[in-house]
Amino acid sequence: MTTQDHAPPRSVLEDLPGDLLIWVLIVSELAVFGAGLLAFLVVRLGDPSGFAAAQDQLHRVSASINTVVLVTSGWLAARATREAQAGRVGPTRLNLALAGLLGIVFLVLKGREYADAIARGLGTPRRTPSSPSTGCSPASTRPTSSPGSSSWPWSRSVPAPIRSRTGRSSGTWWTSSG
Amino acid sequence: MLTKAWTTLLALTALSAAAALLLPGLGAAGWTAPTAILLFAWLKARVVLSRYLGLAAVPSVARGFGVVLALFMLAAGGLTLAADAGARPAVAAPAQN
Repeated sequence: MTTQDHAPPRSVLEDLPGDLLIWVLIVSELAVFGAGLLAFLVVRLGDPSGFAAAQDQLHRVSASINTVVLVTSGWLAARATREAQAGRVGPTRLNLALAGLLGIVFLVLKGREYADAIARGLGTPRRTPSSPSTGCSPASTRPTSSPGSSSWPWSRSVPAPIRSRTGRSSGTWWTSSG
Repeated sequence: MLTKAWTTLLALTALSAAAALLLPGLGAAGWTAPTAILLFAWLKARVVLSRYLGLAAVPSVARGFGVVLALFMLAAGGLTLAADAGARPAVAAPAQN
């Protein structure tokens, strides 16, 4: 009988690449973002056309650029991990520095995107003391019946100067999440 | 291997962007763009998990993530299609004489 016969079965957690804590973080992020995405899709069930119009206010190209930045940053971080495992300090630092730099690029691009959205009046409507706390416009501003009223609240929640500047209405609460 | 994964992710990102930008303009049905984007996102998630995060070396864990990811995508796809079905104008019933 050898010592291997008495060895406890190897846990799957021991096979995970990297530290266990980073996997806790990854699973937590997946759970939070997954729940958020499903919540968006559930909200979309109630007003698909309004949701589509809200999406038109966002920067699809900018979102793609940001994805490229994140994908490249992740690639550099993964490369840094491999370099560290091989004991190469210089390349590890270089890859990590570039990954961090792309993180800053992401923040700058996101900041510009948000600034532009805010300048166009996108975001949560201003609340008044009599308004509900649901993020919607006050009841007094709701149209009772009009063409396109299905897109409420956004068609009525944007100040006129912003509407004239953009050429279209905007301002649903869900667009604030970018 | 990492660089191949990176180029794959870039290609999938470009396809997602093309689907988001071009499909609505081509007169495609409303569900096509979001469904295509979901499929590309699914593929991207699989590449990230297996290559960037190294789960290709741990098939049992990769399978677990794959199953959960598949369930999530089914739920997301179902909600997407349900919203599109609800948005379609109802066909007018023929007049009864």
